[in-house]
Formats: sequence, structure tokens, C-alpha cells
Amino acid sequence: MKKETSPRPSTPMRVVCAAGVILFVIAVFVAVYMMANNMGQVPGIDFGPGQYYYTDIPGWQKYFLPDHYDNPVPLGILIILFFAWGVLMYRLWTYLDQKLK
Amino acid sequence: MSKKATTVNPAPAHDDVVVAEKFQMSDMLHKEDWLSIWGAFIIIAIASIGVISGAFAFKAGSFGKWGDADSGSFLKFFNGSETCLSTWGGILLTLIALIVIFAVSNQLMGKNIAKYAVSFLALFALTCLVRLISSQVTFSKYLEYAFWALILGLVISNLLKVPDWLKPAIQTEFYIKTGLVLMGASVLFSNIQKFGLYGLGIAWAVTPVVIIFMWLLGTKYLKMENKRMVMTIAAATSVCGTSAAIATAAACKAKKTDLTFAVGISLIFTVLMMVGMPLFCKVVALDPMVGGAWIGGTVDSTGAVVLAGNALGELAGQVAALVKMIQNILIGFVAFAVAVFFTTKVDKSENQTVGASEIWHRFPKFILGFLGASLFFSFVFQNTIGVDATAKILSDIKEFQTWCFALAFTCIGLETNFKEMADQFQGGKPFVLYITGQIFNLVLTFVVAWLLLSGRIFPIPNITV
Repeated sequence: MKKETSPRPSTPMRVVCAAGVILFVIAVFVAVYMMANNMGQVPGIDFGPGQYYYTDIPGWQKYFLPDHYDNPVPLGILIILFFAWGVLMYRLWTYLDQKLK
Repeated sequence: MSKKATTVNPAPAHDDVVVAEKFQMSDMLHKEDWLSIWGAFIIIAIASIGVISGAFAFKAGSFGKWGDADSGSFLKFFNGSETCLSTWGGILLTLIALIVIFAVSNQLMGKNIAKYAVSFLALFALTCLVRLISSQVTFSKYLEYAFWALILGLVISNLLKVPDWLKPAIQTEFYIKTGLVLMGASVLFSNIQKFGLYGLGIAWAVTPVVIIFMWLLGTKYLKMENKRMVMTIAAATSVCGTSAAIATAAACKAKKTDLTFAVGISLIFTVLMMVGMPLFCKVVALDPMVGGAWIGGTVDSTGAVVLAGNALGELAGQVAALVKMIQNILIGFVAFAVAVFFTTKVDKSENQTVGASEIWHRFPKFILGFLGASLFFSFVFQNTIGVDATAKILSDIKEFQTWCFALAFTCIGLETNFKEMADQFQGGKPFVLYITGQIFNLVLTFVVAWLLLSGRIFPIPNITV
């Protein structure tokens, strides 16, 4: 079978990609600078981006367990809305994926 | 008609993924997807019995923080002190539990259990080193263990050579799937009501729109041929960073380099956004509730969300946490939708119709375990044993999940070479995709957060802190 090869990107696309790479390299240097200088820390909070999932956070129960908002909308309505929006978006995704070539 | 996948985006060859052959009941005892479910369920069951009976705590061990005046040197883990003994005792329990589960699973998959056990011991030792490094006080705040696992693995595989005897334990997908089923337990669907319509509007209305935008941008405009990478980066950007990237990459059978790219980019920009967004909110005097929701909906890592939100104040911190909590729920459903999409739209020949039975044959079954654990903990456990006992179980099994992912990322590093990564570079398109997608995410989330929480259109919710 003939091997698929990527078409050579157009000049504007190459410029966009080069800009993306430059931005990323700058982002790496800025991020390293921020980490080296302990930036973004809040007194009393001993965690950060290294705790990527909520149960990774020390004492996560304090932030995530108590009810901080008195929700007046029944759970059933929220679940219906959740799935209705999900199905609608999935159909939009498949439609646009087929329509746009 | 041929049922082969298209040549442009073939699913990576993997003998043990349940996609190539028709489903048989015996698959449930011999295929990796199913064995990952049973292994995770065994850990969940033992931890649950321990908490409910109060007789014992089935909890994986880990290194405490080290590296500053308060926490002391890492030598405390090697000097025979009480800290040393308790730390290694917990890690030994973890090793025993994981080696039994994974070795028996390998036996059931028809592999050599003795060779696996020996190589797993070495892999576990490497992963211990990863977790020790990532426990350093500064590293632990900014860089998750995945980063150090990838670095260590890449150094070994590119500078040295991975010995053949270590290869039987390099089973990235198996560890990821087991970790994901464990994670499923902590994805509490009942949390959807914690911020009512506001939370649903900010977290759920925006997320799929960003995914669709990034998919179309990556596949139609940037014309990235690696659609699995597009999907993995889109999920990391729109849902919640590393955890969503892991789940989605497994759901669409992405390459290891795709996951590495997604996690790496997300990690860098999370640090920038965590520092930059609260500063921006303060400069433009943004309402704390809008700012918190904006941070919660866009910053990838949950730890960074809580931290950045609290930089704006307690109220903003709480709103950010509420929005992020709902985004965490989305992981399983997005992974499910992605699995169905790739099964029915991407991994099929042109003009081929994929029926319900074919979807079932190709579908990554471990997602059922993920959703099953999530629904069971959300609607059965929480309502029967109570919220506090459920939280205790989740805390106990969390470290097992972390070990599984740490093993997986160490394996990814060991299996990846720099040439392979350079091949995936595609002229920088993944960076353009992430940066453009994240800007779109920032704008859209801000608009929705402002519409819902500024008080101009809807009443401002009463949040207690």
C-alpha cells in the first residue's frame, strides 16, 4: 500500500506553526522562571499544579465535600440538561466533522 | 466488507486491546481491558471493607514532602527512623498488592508470570525514585510526578538501553486503564448539583464547544493527520489537563507520544495561567465570583485552580473549586463519547457502516469499569454508607491510582525515543492547536461566566465560604 505522506504546508501555515513554536519556547522559559521564584503561591496553601486531580490535594475534603451553595434545581433536571446538551453537542460534532472537509 | 481501520489513523497495534476480534465471554478473564477492571475493583473492594468494618486501612504508601526546613532532608526515608519505617512499610504493601494483581492478570493473559514479576520489581523501584524526586517540596507544588516519570524514562531509554528483562513489565496501557477505573470511583456524578445551573452552565456548556472547535481546528484547518493527538490535546485543554488527557488518550487509543505532548504542554501553560490569571483579574478589578469561575473553567490542574482562585480571595477560590469539581465529572463522559466517536467515525473504512455489535466489539471496555465505579460511588455508596465514609475510601484508594499512573508514565518514558517525538512534532502544529484552543477556551469561558455570575442577567448565587 502506498504510504501516506503529509502535503508540504503552505507559507502562511508555516508562519503560524513557527509562531506557535516560538510562543511555546517563551512559555517554557517563563514557566521555569515562575517556578524558580516560587511565584503564584498563596500563604496557607501548600499545593499547586503538581496536584492535578482533586483527590491529590492535601485535605481535599475541606474544599470539595461541604455544600457551599443551596441548589434550588432538582438533581433530575440537572441530569436531563447534562445529557441533553451532551447528546446535542455529540450530534453537532459528528455533523460538522462530516460536513467540513 | 473489510473491517480494517483507515490507513490515515490506524489504532496503534496492540495485541491485547479488545478491538480486533469478536467478543467472547472468556475475554472477561483473559483480556487486558477486563482484567484492569477486575484488578481495580479488587482494590476498591478491599479498601471499602476496611473502611466500613473499621478493622484495617488498605492504603498505598507514599513519600512525604522533603527538602525544606520544616520537612527535612530526604535522608529521613533512609535512616531507620519511625518516618522511614512507616513510609517503606506502606510502599511495601503497595508493591505486594500491585504485583499480585498485575502478575496474576499477566498469567491470565498467557504471559510468563515469573519474568513479569522480576521486571515489575525493577519498574517499581524506578517508579519509587520518581515519586521520591517528585515529593521534593518545590517540585511537588509545580510539577506532577508524570513529568519526572517521563524525564527518568526518557533518560534511560535514550542514553542507556532498556534491558530486555525489563520489557515484560512495560505495559503502559494496562497501568493506565487500572488507574482510570480507580479514578472512576472519585468521579462523583452527584457533585453536579453542588453549583446548580451556574456550575452546569460554566463547566458543561463550554467544554464540548471547545472540544469541537479544537477538533475542527486540528483536523480541518491545521490538517493534522494524527487525529488521536488532536483529541488528546483538546480534552486536556477543555476538561481538566492530565487526568482528562490520560482518559481520552486511552479511549481513542492514542500513541504514547500523543499523551506526552498533551501532558507536557498542559503542564507548562498551567503554571503560566495559575500565576497570570489572578494578576489579570486584579488589574482589571474583575468580580471575584466571575474571576473564580473563569479560573475554575480554564486552568487545567485542580490544585492550580484552587490555588489561583484563592489568590483572588476565599470566595473566588470556592467558586473556582466548585466549577472544577463539575469539570472533573466530565472526564468519564467525554472519554465515553470519544471512544464511540473513534469507533464509529474514525476507525472505520470509508462508506462502512458500524453497527451496534461492532461498536461493542471495538469499544474500550475499561471505560465501562470507569463509569461503573463512578455511578456506584455516586448513587449507591454515598447514599448508603455516607459522604464521610465514601471520602475515606476515596482517600485510601487514591494512592493506588497515583502509583498506577506513575508506573504508566515511567513506562511511556522507557518506550519513547527522541526521534519518535520529533516525528510527532509536525512543524509545531500541536502547539498552535493548544494555544489557539486555550485562547478560545479563555474567551468563551469568560463570556459565559460573566453572563451567569455578573448579576446583569441572572441573580448572583449565594455562596458560603
